[in-house]
Order: sequence, then C-alpha cells, then structure tokens
Amino acid sequence: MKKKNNVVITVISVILCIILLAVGSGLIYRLVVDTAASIDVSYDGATLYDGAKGFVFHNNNAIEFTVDSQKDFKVKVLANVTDDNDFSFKVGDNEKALKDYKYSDVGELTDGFVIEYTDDGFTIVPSGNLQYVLIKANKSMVLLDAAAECYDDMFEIVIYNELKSVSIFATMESSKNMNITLDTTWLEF
Amino acid sequence: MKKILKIISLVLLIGIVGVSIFALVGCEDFKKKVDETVDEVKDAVNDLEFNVVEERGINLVIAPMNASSTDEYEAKTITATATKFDGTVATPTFTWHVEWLECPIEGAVVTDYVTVECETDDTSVATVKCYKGFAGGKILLVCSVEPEGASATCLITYGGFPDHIDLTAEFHMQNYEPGDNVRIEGRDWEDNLHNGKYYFEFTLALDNYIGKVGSEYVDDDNYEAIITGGYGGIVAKEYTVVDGIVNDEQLKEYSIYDLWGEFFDVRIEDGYLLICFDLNPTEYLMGNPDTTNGKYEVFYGFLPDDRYELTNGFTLAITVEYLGWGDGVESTYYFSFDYSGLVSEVALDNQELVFTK
Repeated sequence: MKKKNNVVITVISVILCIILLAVGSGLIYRLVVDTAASIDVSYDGATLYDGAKGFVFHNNNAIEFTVDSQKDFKVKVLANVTDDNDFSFKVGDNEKALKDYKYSDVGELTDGFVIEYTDDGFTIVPSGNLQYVLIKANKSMVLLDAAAECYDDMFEIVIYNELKSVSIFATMESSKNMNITLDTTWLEF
Repeated sequence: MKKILKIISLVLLIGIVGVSIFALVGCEDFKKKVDETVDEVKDAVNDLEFNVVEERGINLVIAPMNASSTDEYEAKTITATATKFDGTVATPTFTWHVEWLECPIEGAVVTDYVTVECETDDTSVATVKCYKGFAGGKILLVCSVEPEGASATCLITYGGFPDHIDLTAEFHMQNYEPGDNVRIEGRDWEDNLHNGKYYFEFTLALDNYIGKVGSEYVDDDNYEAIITGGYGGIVAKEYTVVDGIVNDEQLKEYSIYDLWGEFFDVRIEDGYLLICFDLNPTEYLMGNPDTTNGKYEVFYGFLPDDRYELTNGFTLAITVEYLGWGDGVESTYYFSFDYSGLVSEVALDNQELVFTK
C-alpha cells in the first residue's frame, strides 16, 4: 500500500514539475519577447499610453514623437470613426463620374500625411487640409460636403512593429481665417 | 384640268425662281466670304512655310497645320478666389504647385509633364501647361495661402483630347484621267495643256499637340470640309475653230469664286478629303478642236497674281471639321495650286563635242 502511494506521489510530482517547467519557460519567454517587442512612445518627455487622445495638428505644424522600440517600427494612420461622427463626400476623376463615399469607407489615410522617421522617433503632419488628406488617401479628387468638419481624434496614428502596436489619436485644426476656391476642380488635357 | 395645270406651272415657276435666288445668294455669300478673307488668308499663308508635296500638271503646295498644332504645349488658366470666414473677399498672395497624385512612370518629374505659373503679377490667376501625355497618371494642382494654411486643389488628368485634324502626307492623286490633250498646231502654249480630272485625296486623322489622342476619342470619319477663304484664279483661252482655223482667240480670267463647283470642288468622301479639278469643261470640248468647227475654251494656266509672291495660281483655305463628339475639332489648311507644264523634252545645245588635243 505504501509502495503504491509512493508511485502516485512520484507521478504527481513529475506532472507538477513538468507543469512548473512549462509555465516557467513560458513566463521567461514572454518576458524576453515582451521586452524585445515593446514600443514606448513619448511626447514632450511624457510616455504615452496606448490609446492616448487629444493631439491636434495646428497650422500644418508637425508633431514629434519619441519611440523606444527594440525592433524596427512603422507608422500608419487610420480613420477613427463612429456612426455618430461619420461624414460623407464624393470621389471621382471627373465631374461626370462621382461616387459617394463615407469617412468610414476610407480605412487607411497614411498617404495623406508626411511622416519622417528620425533617429529616436518620427514626426508627422497632415499633407494639407482635410480635403487634401482624403484626396491623397483616395488617389482621386474629393469633394467634401459643406457640413464636413474635422472632429476630435479623427485620425488614429498607429506605431507598430512585428508584435506590438500603440495607437495615438489626433485631429487637425481647420483654417479658421480663410477659404480658397478654384474656378475648376478638374482639368483634362 | 386647266386650273390644275396652271397651279402646277405656278408652283414650278416659284420653285425655279426660288432655287435661282438661293443659288445666286449662295454664290454671292461665297464670293463675299472669299473677298473678305483674302488678306486674312494672305497673312496666314505668308507666315507659313509651304512644302511641295505633289507635282503632276498641277503643282500643289500644302501649308502645315494651323497654328494650334505647332504649339509645344497646351495651356489652360485657372483662377483662385479667397474669402475670409466673415464672408469678405481677400486678396492674398497665392502660391501654386503641382505634384503627382499617381505617377505613371517611376521617377518621372512632374514638371516635365505639367507646369503651373502666374504669368502676371496677379497671383490669383495661374496658367497650367501640359507638355507631355501622362495617360494613367494623375497630377494634383495645389493653390495655397500662407501663413493662413488655406489651400484648394484641382485634379489634372490626361485624356488625350484631340485639338486638331492631321492631314497626313500619305495622299495621292486618285483616278488620274489625263484625257486628250488639246493641241493646235502652231500655238506656243500647246505643250501646256493637260486636260483631265484630278482628284487629290488626303487622309484625315484626329491628333493633338502631343501626338497621343485618347482612346475614348474614337475617329469615326465624321468629317466635314468647307472652303473658308482664298485668292487667285485661272486663265482660260476661248476661241472658235472654223475649218481648222482658230479665230477669236481671247484670254478669260476666272477668280476662284467663278470656278468653285465648275473647275474645282472640295468634299469629304469616306473620311477622306478630296479636292477635285476638272480641267476639261465638257460643254466646250465636244469633239476634236483640230478638225471640228465650234467654240472652245481650254484651261490655260493659273492667274498670275503680282500681289503674292508665293504662287502664281490660287490658294484655298479649307476648314475641316470633325463632328464626332462634343464641340468637335476643326483645322484650317491652306492649299496653293499653280500650273506647271510637264517636262517633255531635254535638249542639248550641241550634239557633238570634238576634242583635238
């Protein structure tokens, strides 16, 4: 009976050891990988948490972010939109072939921004006003509805590497002083 | 019955009078048009360099395309307006630039294709010039005002819009019918007579300053041609023959509006431009003037025109219009005709050269 109990205890001990070994290895691996893949983004010396909001591009001035990443990182910009703040616009290469779009249809807006990578981070600025950003993103002319306006946190700036990503939310200040219109929106040669 | 005949006669009479008036008015219109455009055509022709493209009895020299085809670019203007948010119009200094939205060729420099510049001190008006085709590409024109940061954009595409009708060099005389030369013994102009019908046929094609017409502008040969001006004329010799003897020889001059429809015609057939000459008015050349009594008139030569050194003949301005779509496209060509007798003999001044040393 005692011998039988010893066998059971031995089996349980082996199983526990295996479990402990597996969990330990996992924890060690996770710790190492997390350290290697981590992205720390900071602005003006303060570290930003994932999902930080409230950034504003003023007068097309670039915002500079510092990035601490063990791996190469990239930046992309996505539309951050809900049903409440979605807006519509028209897209087309000529006035006879305009299609209705919504901001929520756009997806990626990266081409509408100028992103410059530096030794310790990156700078980012919209290429122009909201219409221009949407033109660059859609590779076509965009006509905004009169009611379309920039709203808070409408751009999601995603800083990412192979394993992790951090999102920051921003908007842009509209030109409050002046509006320019051209007598034509399309020229064809 | 008599009443019916009277009515028919009256209707016919009215019809004949109407047609006659219409024909006369039409002819007068043409004459007026030609007269009015003499100087205009002269000026245009004098500015052009003519090329001889065919010679056979009639010398035809054809001028290059109208002015629009010689441009190295096509230009369009664009105007910006600035308003402040309180609604008042502002007059800031606008800055303009172009950039690729989609570049069709990797590394292509946008300003090799399209440029934008203000040609006056007024920066609100810019001239956009396209030098090369960029089919498949898109260019963005940006107008901005600093430091306000306001901007507006215009999308520039290349559709290959045809801006003129090209008349290619692949033309030829079609169905040349030399006819029987009218020869009268003892006349010094006998070798100059080449009666017959000539059809100059020209191939037409839509073209633009870049040479790349967009595929959507299908050329379906829907052309029209009208004579829009000209000057000069021809000389004909009128005479009667009695028992083989020429009598009452007279020179007659015909201006081009006398000749239009009789001596020459311009028309479009199957998409080709045809200029037809009939040097042998049939009403006068019935029979053989060497032996047959009658009254004759033969084409003699083009009317020398001392006012214009370019040619001793006549010049036609012909406008060809393509009607296939939109507002159409039109081009005006200048055709200058003169007469040159064919070389029939080469003579040497000595048939034998003897060397003694």
